[in-house]
Amino acid sequence: MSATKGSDYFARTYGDLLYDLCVSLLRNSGEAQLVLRSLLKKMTIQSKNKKNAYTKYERAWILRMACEKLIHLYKQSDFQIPPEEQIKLDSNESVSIRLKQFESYFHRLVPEDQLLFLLKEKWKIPDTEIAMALAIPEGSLKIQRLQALRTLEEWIWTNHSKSH
Amino acid sequence: MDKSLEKPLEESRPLDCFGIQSHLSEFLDEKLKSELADAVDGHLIHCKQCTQRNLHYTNLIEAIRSLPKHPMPQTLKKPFLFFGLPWFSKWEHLPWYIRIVAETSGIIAITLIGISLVPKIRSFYEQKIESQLRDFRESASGTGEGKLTPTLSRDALVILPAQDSGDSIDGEDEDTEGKAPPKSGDDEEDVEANAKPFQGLALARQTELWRFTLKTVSPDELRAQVAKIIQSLKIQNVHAENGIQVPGGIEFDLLVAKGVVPQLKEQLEKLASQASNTTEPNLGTTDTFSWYKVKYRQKLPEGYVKAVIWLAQPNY
Repeated sequence: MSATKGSDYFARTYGDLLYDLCVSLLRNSGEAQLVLRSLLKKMTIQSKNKKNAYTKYERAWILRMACEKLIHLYKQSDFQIPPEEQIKLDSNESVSIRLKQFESYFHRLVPEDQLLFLLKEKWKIPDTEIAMALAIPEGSLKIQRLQALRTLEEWIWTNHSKSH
Repeated sequence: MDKSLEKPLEESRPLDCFGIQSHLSEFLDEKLKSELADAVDGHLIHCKQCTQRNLHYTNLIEAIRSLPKHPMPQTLKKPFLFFGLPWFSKWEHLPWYIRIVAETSGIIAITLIGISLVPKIRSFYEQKIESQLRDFRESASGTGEGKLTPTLSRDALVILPAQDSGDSIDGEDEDTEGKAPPKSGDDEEDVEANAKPFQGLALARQTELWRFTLKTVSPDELRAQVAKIIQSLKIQNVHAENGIQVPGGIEFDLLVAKGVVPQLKEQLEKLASQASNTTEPNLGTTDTFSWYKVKYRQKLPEGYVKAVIWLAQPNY
């Protein structure tokens, strides 16, 4: 990455992606804006450091920074689904209703899994970049993806089958 | 995973449920090689459990893909003030040490310019006021009132009767020198407010105020003697020839030529010494007489200073 990129460049190039990650994970647009601002500022500062003068892996570098920050914030805020929402989710008997409320089930996943899905399925980021962003080997990424899918399947289908 | 090891293994035996798991991620992404994809398809035809799981996973992936994308708000896209301007962007990319030096120099320069401009702005403002006064005087001279209005200019000013502003220490700085510091509650401005005009005399921009305090149980006894000293030194009494009776004592408000101040001080000290010996033997001269000098910003005639003699009762 060139060492002469300002926050306007990062906002223009990666603003939508980063903002979507922030809103999807934090579920609060105000907080997401604050986090994005701080991320853009951090990127601008760090991009001036010659050690970060990448060109090829700029997006991965940015995603790494964003993921680190978001996971940290998520864990720090001890984000949990409110009990009433939890009960509502568990009391749904129909799979179709559960699928309609998929977003709520999705947010029950750990932040790493949520980010993985958002990056891979929603934003079509290549596995290599996601692996770099989440700081895990590419092989582990595939296993983590299947495990997360299995978890979601359990919540939506298996629990439903058990209740009958 | 090493592809060279993978191929013979897959070709040698058909995929079971466990084998499917290791290729499922690629299979869901439709990135599996055709032979392997066929093998997975072949297994799914026979295995109901894996088919169901594959269907569930596909549904889940579709659901994730259909999650709404949140575009960045316009407020975040717009740069704050001038931060988006091209020159600022270039400036931002300069090395930090150049920017810090330049920014610091800029701040210092702006501060210095500001400081140097203040007197000029003040002078400009005063000139404006003076020109307004001149206009007023000229317009009033037609009606005969102009004769009463003194000329006001920066270099040769004439004292006008000051207005009673009610401020405590308006014309004084804290540059005191003398035996006693100024006491709170001293109100020189009240005296200044009642000062008579000295028309036709040039005014100094900054002058001095001398304050002499004589503590005595009977200020009236010393009053006549002080008045005598004032007369003998030919000092102009601004307020009243025999001073003014105010609560706590008597005050003489004087306009004194600079050269006369030491004589006045000497005379007063002498008087205080005499008074302390006769009326208050318990008090030393230093207790009965004190003085201090401060800068005085009120306009006074050139070569003159202001002096206040305060005959105070001990409690004051």
